[in-house]
Formats: sequence, structure tokens, C-alpha cells
Amino acid sequence: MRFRSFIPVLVVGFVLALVPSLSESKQLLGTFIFAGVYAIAVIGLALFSGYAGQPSMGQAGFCAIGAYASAIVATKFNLSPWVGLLAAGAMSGLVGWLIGSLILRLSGHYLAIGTLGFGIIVAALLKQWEWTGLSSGMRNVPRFEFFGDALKSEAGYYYLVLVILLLVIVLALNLVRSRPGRALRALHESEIGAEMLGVDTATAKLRVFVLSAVLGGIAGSLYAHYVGSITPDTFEFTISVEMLVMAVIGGVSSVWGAALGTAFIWGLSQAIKALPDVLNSIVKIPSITQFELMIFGTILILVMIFMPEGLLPTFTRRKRSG
Amino acid sequence: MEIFLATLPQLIVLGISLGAIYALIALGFVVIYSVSNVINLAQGEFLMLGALIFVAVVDLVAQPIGAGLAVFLGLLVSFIATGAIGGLAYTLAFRPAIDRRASVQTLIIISMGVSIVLRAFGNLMWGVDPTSTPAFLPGRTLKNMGLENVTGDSLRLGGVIVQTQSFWIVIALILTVLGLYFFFNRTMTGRALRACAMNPDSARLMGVPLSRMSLIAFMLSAGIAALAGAIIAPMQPVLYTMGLGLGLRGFVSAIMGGIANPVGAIWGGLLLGIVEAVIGGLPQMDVPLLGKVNPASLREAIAFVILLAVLVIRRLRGASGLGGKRFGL
Repeated sequence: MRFRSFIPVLVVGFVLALVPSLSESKQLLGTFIFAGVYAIAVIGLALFSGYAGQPSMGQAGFCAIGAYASAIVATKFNLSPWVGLLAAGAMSGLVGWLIGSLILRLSGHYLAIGTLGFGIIVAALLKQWEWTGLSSGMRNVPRFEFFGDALKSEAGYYYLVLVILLLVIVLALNLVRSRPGRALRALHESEIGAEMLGVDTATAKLRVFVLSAVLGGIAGSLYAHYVGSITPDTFEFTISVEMLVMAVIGGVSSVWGAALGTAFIWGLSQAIKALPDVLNSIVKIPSITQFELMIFGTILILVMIFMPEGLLPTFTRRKRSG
Repeated sequence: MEIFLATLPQLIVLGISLGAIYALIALGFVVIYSVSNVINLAQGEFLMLGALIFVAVVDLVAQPIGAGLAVFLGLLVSFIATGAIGGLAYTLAFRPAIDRRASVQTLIIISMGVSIVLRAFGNLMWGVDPTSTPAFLPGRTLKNMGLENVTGDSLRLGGVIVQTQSFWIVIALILTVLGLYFFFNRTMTGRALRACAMNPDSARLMGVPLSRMSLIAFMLSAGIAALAGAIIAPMQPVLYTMGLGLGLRGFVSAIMGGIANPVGAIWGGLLLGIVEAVIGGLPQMDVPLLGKVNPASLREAIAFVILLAVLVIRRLRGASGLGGKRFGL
């Protein structure tokens, strides 16, 4: 990786590292931790969706597999949560490989519905699994251990998520610029064209699908160890949709776009949550959450109409032309 | 297992009535997709609005004009109002994007945005408490007509118990199909819609206004979904969340039939309905790893496993849907 493209990672990392020193509010840090966990899964999704050129509607399924693998290792086998994190990545990668070899034969809408089906199947199976607590899920998932209780505090966990997120960004940026990354981009432009140039498109797609599954699994594991309890509903279909929205709004074919999209949607929903207090003093709103959702949906539609490539590509292009 | 086999005819009847609903929803997907290339994931929300509007109208007018006429009026208002909402959704959300040459992925996301807004709207208008409405043909009326084998709102035919509402569902499907057949083959507008589906460029060159045709397709599909919602309103709680699951199943049915193929969509819907009902009737069984499993609660997952299998096998064989590929009823 060239040093120049490394600079934004350092800058973003540095700025974000300041957050815990600015505020000790547990709630605020919690919000940032969730956003970071989401960002990891969304970058994974963007790597696949951005290159295969198809929406993946089952990313939450991989998060679920990671979260459950991690929770099982930590609570049922009493192993270190770190082993759980590794198991989460390995397990979701393995499932990603199995599922991918099957559904990546599909293309277009059929692939989208294939990923959607996968997410729904995972959630439904987890609800039926007695060993993992059926619908009520798993509880008492411990935090990671590192220098004693360093990761038990909100700030400690925040730094852990931040470090992993930055590593993921570096890895993803590297991949995009590597030989396999270029092959994937060729694949996005024209599958036949890429094949003519000697790219093994099936293997290339499967690899990036597995990578995206692994990132989803890691995000799931980080979530499980942070919150401490998981249920199948935590990873339902709507979460997959939300992740896809984040990826697409930021700009699905870029790593930074995915990160930006996550931050945007996350910030937006926080802002809208705060809005009704202001509005409520002026007009009476019957249902605040539904009102939020309406604004959320409307903004989503507007962004997609006026910036279909997502926020990041739109702004960077304007800067270049201006 | 014997119990299961004995109930099989019952399950298949149940499956057909479920499947007819899925088929109606799937038809909506097919009409919109064929004409405008949009996969409209908000189809389930049109169904939800249709059901809620229907219940509201029936509640309002059942007393003054009588139950029978109220159902008719409810269906009409629900069809027109939801059709108008569908048209509005197209004009405000989809058309601006299509005019800017949005990609398939962008349009899918927009339809998700539309369904978020519509669901919130349904909640704001009608609240969170489920409502219900009496069957179109209550068991009481049948008893008064001198029919013997009536329990509640169900008829006993041979060994099979059929809800009276199931008849209406199947009738609604048949009438809708006949109506669509007539519309697409015998009317100028319908033919123009088919022309857009077959070859948008030539259709435009022949003077067919593409965006007006898409508008009609959206209104028509929303109307069909609303009818489906109104017809199942007596059979399940009517609530702003009801669209998600049903819409998803309609989508699956449409995909099984090969998204641009109406006949395939009907078969896809019926097949999915029957499979779901039959799986729901299987006895509890021991599954390695999962432990004791009640297949009824795995319905959804199994339906998707079947869907994936159908898709992959079909892909390997190079075919496109359950039936042919051409659009036209």
C-alpha cells in the first residue's frame, strides 16, 4: 500500500481516538461502539456487493453466525473470548464458503434473493436450536480480557473496536488495490470481459464473498461480547436491509463510502431521535418512532434519487470538477 | 406419521388458499417488473394498506348499509385508494429515479425506502393494535340457508374442513387472472403495457408513453395487492406489520415463477402455499444438532431452502422459471 492512501486511515484513527477523552458519557461511547461494529460488517458487505454488482441481503446472517459461534465458545466451552473471536471469523467464513459455492452460481435478482433467503434461514434455525436458548438466545457472554480489566470499560472496548475497524479498512483498501482486487473490478464492469482476460471469475467472487462473511462474523462477535446477550431477533432480516442501506448510501463501490454510509445513517437516526423533543414542543406527534422511520425512509429515497452512486462518490466527483 | 397422512388433504386445501394469496401478491411483482424493471419490495405494504383501508370502510358502513354491501364497497374503496397510493409512490419516488437512469440496485433500495415510509404511515394512521373483520360469508348465514355441516366460519366437505373465506380467496384469484387476461389482451392500454414489457424501445418508438404505462402498472399492482389484503383480512390480525412476511412470500413466488412470467407466478404462489402448509402439518421430529424441532415453526426457513434449491437447479439446467419466459397471460 502506498503511503498516501494510508494518511486518511491515520487521520480518521487519530480523530476517533480522541472521542473518549472528549466525553465520558457511557451512552455516547456505546453509540460509537455500535457504529464501529456496524461499519465492519458494512465494509464486508460493500466489498461483495460493490464488486459482484448485486445487493447482498443476508449480511446479518453472517453476523448471527459469528455472534453465536463466539458466545458458544465463551459460555459453553469456557474458553477465552479471544478464541471466540477467531471461531466467529472461521465459522462464518466456512459457512460463507459453503453457501457461496452454492448460491454464487446465481446472478442478478436471483443472487439477491439467494442471500436474503440465507439470512432468513439462519435466523429461523437459531430460533429452533434448544442448546442456544431458542428465541430467548444466549446470555452472560463475557467481555474480552486484556491487561486485566482494560476492555471491561466502555472506553477500553471503544479502542478495541476502533483498532479492529482501522485494520479492516487497511485490509480492504489493500485488497481493492491488489491484483485480486483489480480482477474483481474487472468482473464488476463485465463478467465476460474479465473471463476473456483470464480472470477466474467464479473463484474471485467466492473469495470476496467469504471475506465479506468473515467480516460479518467478526462484527457479530464484537457485538455479542459488548452487549453480553444475543437473540435470533438481533440479527433479523431488517438488520441486513439496514446494512445494505448503509453501504449503498455511502457509495457501495468504495471502502470509505461504506464507512461513511454507516456513520451517516447512524448519525441520522441519532439526530432524528433527538428531533421529536424539539418538535413535540411545537406540534404533538402521536408516535415518535414511526415519525422517525418516516423521515428515515424519505431521506433514503431522496439520496437514492439524487445521488444514486452514494454520498462519497458524488462529493468527490464534485470536488474534482470544481 | 399416520395422523399426518390423514390430514394431508386438509393441509393441501389450506395450502391452496394460502398459495392463492401469494399468487395474487406475486402477480403484482410481475406486472410492475415487466413494465418498469423495478423489483418493488413495497408490494407487501400495499397489501397491508389495502387490508387496513378495507377494515376501516367495513367498520364505518356495515351498520347503515348492511354487511354484504359493506364488503363490496370496502373492496372497491381499498382497490382505488391503494391504487392511488401506488401511483403516488411511483410518481414521487420511482419516476424521478428512473428518469435519471437509476440502476436496478438503486431502485430496489428506493422500494425499501417506500416500504419503510408506508409501514410508518400505516402505524400512524391505524395504531399498533391489530383489528379484525368478520368473514365475507359468516357461518351463521350459511346455517340460516339450511346448510348442515357448518362449524364457526368453516364448512365440512367430505373429510376436509374449509374456511368459507378460502372460497373467496380462490374466487378472487380466478377473477383477477381473468380480469388481467382481458385487460392485457383485449384493451389498448393493456396491449401497450405488454408492448413495454416486451420491448420498451420499440414501444416508445411506436408512441407508447413509457412512464404513463409504468404509472398504470404501479396502480394496478397496488390495487391487486390491496384486494389480496382485503380478502385475507378476516383470516388474520390486520396490522401495520402484516405486509412484511406476506410481501416476502409473494416475492419468493414471483421469483420461483421467473419474475417476468405471470403464469409462473401463479404456479409459484400455489406451490409455496402448499409446501408451507404441508410442512406446517408435519409431526415434531428429532433433528441431529438442533434437537426437538417443530416443523411448523421452520416453515419459513424450509420454504427458502426449497426456493434456493429451485433457483440453483434451474440455473444449472439453464432454464429461467417454472414456465416459459414470455410476458403475457
